[in-house]
Amino acid sequence: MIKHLLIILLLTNALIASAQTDNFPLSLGIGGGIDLIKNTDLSASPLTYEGMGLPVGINGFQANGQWINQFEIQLIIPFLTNNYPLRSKADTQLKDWTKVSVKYQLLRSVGENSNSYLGGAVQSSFFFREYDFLDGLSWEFQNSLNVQLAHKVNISDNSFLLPQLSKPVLTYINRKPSLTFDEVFLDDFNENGAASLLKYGQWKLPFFNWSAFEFDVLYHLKLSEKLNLQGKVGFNYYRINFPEKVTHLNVPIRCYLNYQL
Amino acid sequence: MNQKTEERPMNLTEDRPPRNTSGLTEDRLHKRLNISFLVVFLLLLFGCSRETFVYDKAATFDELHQSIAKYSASIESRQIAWDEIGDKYRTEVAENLNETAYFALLQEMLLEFRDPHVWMFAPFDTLYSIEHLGYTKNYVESVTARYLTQVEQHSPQIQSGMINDSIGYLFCADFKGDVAANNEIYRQVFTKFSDTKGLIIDLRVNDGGSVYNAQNLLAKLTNEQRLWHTTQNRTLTGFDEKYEWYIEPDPEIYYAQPVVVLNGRFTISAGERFAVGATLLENVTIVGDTTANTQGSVMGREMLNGWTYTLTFEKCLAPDGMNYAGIGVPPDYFIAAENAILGGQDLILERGLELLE
Repeated sequence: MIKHLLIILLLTNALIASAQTDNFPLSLGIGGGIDLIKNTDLSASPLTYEGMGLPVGINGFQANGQWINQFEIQLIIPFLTNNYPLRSKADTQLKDWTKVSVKYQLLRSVGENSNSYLGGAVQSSFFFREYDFLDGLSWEFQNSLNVQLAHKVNISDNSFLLPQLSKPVLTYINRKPSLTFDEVFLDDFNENGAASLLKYGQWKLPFFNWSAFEFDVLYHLKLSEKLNLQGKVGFNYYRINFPEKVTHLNVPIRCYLNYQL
Repeated sequence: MNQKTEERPMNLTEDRPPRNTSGLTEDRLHKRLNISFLVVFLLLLFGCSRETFVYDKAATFDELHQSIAKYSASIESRQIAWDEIGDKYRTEVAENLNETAYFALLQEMLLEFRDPHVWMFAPFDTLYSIEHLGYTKNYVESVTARYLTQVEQHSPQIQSGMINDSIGYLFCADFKGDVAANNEIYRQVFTKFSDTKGLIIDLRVNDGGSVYNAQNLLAKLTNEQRLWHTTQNRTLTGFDEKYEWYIEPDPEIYYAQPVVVLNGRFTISAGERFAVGATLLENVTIVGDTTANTQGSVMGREMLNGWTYTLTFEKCLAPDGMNYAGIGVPPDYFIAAENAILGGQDLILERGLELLE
């Protein structure tokens, strides 16, 4: 699948004849977007919940001939952003949910004058939700090390596309530890807050009760000497099989206005 | 040269596109048509997405049955033949059942547990199992109130008073509310009762709450640590390891005088766990009726049709291994609920006072 994707990216690059622009000094940006979400967590409910939130985020981007550095922080937190209720087909709702994602990636071009990149990323993502019944809550808190593939497609002197594939290869997952919440757990949670959840975690390798991948396309447009516009559309997926299966699909759409330092 | 007859005659600005009779250019007309089609498409899209929810009753039943098999501690505790029960009610599931009939069918199945912790919530109806167990309350507030003086309402759940100027009375409607705040109230009450010759703790309608509130109240009645009970949660393969609960003596308060606890069929959940603790304390006697029959903690889940239900997920054992689930904690002195309130007298309270006198 990766080979086919790279072939498509290379062919796309071949069709676009333009001068290559490889140097993009560090810029920091602020922006927002839309997160489309679809989640089924059998340890909490047999129902699939879908909906959207409006995240806010900050990012940083830097590229020279050989290296691409990126980081991104995205937040959907009730007191900060709009997160509309996720709904099921049975018309039940998840009104209270929080989604936070932090990612740093470092890519290096492979070969001389190549627009193909290979690298890695460290990523932390947290998705917490409260269901509308007694003690109904669940979460995934994943901290992973990813392998990244990317290919830069230069469109003009001032713009490029960067499709990227990210595959987590090692993760530490915090999930609800059991099917049920007893008083000891709830007392710990009520007294110590979200920090009390950190002790419930497992190290996982791919395909051992866990799988995930991400694909996104970054569009970078230089607006002026100091300002850049970055847009991104992606597709994220993960599945965790303990204590019961949760599957999560996410289509993040982002737009950042970056200021070049 | 003459123009072809099918061509429109051109004027001096022959590069302008021709106009139709409404005055719109063809470009603009195409644009308006595209926008119209887009609006109609969007209306159809959103219109189509608002379809009426139709669910599969058989699949919903099966999922409910399987989930209860996975999460309920009561199947083992109460020795419920859950597979046979599922088979029996499954034959009555039909897709043409109306919502009320379907609810009634599921209600009948869930009542097989006879567990006060089993509830079901639909938009149009609610099942509270305790309303179907044939229990009779053995407490009437207005009757008991006649025995009390110096009544003080400490919180919505906690009331205290004096009886005959020498016996303290503490009423706990439930064990809900902030644990630290409730513990402070207990301390104030016991300080007030430090000179009494006995204490009545009335839990006849205590429908439970936090086990920590029950634990803090028991802590005032002993000066030594005791194993109180153990709990185990359901897992996918059975139960997890036993967690031991202890009665830890309160460092500031120890009530050494005789205590009578009043129980009944509406003493539920954490109220029943308190009763288990009371059976372990030498200075405590239980009068009234057997408790409701469910001590483990309760959880909730959704069904495929959006209804919700609750069940007991925790197995609770007394220190001697006794499981009171399905049975209830019996009193030391039994008075049938039907004989509890007669002629304006609270006979259970009076029996308790006799024991303390």
